[in-house]
Amino acid sequence: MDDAALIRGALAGRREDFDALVEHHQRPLYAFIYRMIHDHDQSADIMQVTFLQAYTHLGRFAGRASFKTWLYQIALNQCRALYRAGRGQQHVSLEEVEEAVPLRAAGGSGSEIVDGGPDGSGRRLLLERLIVRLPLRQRAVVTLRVFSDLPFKDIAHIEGISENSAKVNYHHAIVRLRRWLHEDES
Amino acid sequence: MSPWRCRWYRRRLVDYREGALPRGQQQRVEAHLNLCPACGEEIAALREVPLTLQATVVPDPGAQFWRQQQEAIGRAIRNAPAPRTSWWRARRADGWRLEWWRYPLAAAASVLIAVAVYHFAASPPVTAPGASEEELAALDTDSLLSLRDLMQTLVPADEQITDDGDDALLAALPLDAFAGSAGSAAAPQTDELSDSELEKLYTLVGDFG
Repeated sequence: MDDAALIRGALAGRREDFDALVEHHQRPLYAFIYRMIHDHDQSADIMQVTFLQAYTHLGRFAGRASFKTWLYQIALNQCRALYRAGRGQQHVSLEEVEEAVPLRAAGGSGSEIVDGGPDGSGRRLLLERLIVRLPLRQRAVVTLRVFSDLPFKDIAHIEGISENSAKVNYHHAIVRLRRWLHEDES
Repeated sequence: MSPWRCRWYRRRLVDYREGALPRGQQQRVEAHLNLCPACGEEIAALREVPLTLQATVVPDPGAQFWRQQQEAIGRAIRNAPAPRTSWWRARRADGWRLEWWRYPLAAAASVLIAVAVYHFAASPPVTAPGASEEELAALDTDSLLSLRDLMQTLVPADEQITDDGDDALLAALPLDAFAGSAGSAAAPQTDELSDSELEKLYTLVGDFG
C-alpha cells in the first residue's frame, strides 16, 4: 500500500496504517537525523517526536510534497530546536573530528586517514565527520542530497528556500569540504 | 580566466554535474572547464566528495532497536488525540481535484448569487402606513400640541405626572411659548399660584423665563 492510502487510513482512524508508515520510513529518517546530529540517543528521541508530530498534524498534510519530504521537514525543525537549546554540536574543531575517527583512535599513525587506507575508509570517515563542521543549512542540504537522494526541489521545500539557493548551498558545502580535506592532507 | 567570467559558469556547475543543463549550456560549461583550472577544481570536488560520502554508512542500531522504536511510537500515537482533517482536505486526500468544468460552474453560481442579492437590495423600501395629507390638515393646533402630549414626549414614562393635583400646575404653564397664541383660556395664570406651587411647577418643567 502506498503512503497516500496509508495516510487516508490513518485519518479514518486506522492507527495500524500509521504503524505501517512508521515501519516504512523509520530507517531512512533515523539515518538522516543521525547524520545531522551524530548522536544515537538524541536521534532516537527526535525520530519518535517526529512521528508523533506527524500523526497529530496528519490532517494538515496537504500532499503538495511527499510524506517523506514532510517527515524530513519536521525532523529538521526538531534538529534546529536541539541546536537552539544548545544541546547539539554547532561547531566541531578539526582536532575533535580527528579524535573521533576510529582509525586514528585505534592507534594508527593517522596517515591512512588523509591518504585513504587500502579501501579509502579513512578519508570517508574523516569526510563524514567534517560535515559536522558545516553550518546547519549546508549540512542539511548535503545530507538530503547525497544520502537521502532528494531532488533540489524537495530540499528547497524542506529548507523553505528557493531551489537555486539550495544548489548554491550545496555547491559551497562540497567545495568547502574538499578544501578542509586538502588542508588536513597538507 | 577572470572570476567575474567564471561566475556564470560556477552558478551552473551543480546542474552541469547533474546533467540538468540544456544541451547548449552543457557544452559551453564543458568548454570552459577545459580552459579554467579553478572551475576544474570545483567540478572535481562536486564529483568526488559526494561519491566518497555515499560510501559511508550509518551504523545500524539493530533489530531490537527498531522494534522498540516502533512500539514506543505506537504507544505514543495511541495516547495522542486522533488527527483531524477538514472536509476539504479529506476530499483532496481522496484524490478529489477541481476539474476544469467546475470553474465555470462556480463562476455561474457566483453570478446568480450576485444577481439575487442585487435584486433584493434594489427593491423599493416598504413604507409604514401613516396619516394622509387631509387627515393631518384636519388636526387643530390644540390637538397637536396638548401639554400632556408634550410632557409625554419630554419626560420619561416613569417620571410623568400621575397626580391629578398636578394638572392645575401643569395647566399654568405658558402655552404661548409652545403654541404661539393658541394657549388655553381656562388655564390659571402663574400669578394665581402660591410660592410653593410655583416652585413645584418650576421643578417639574424648568424656568422658561
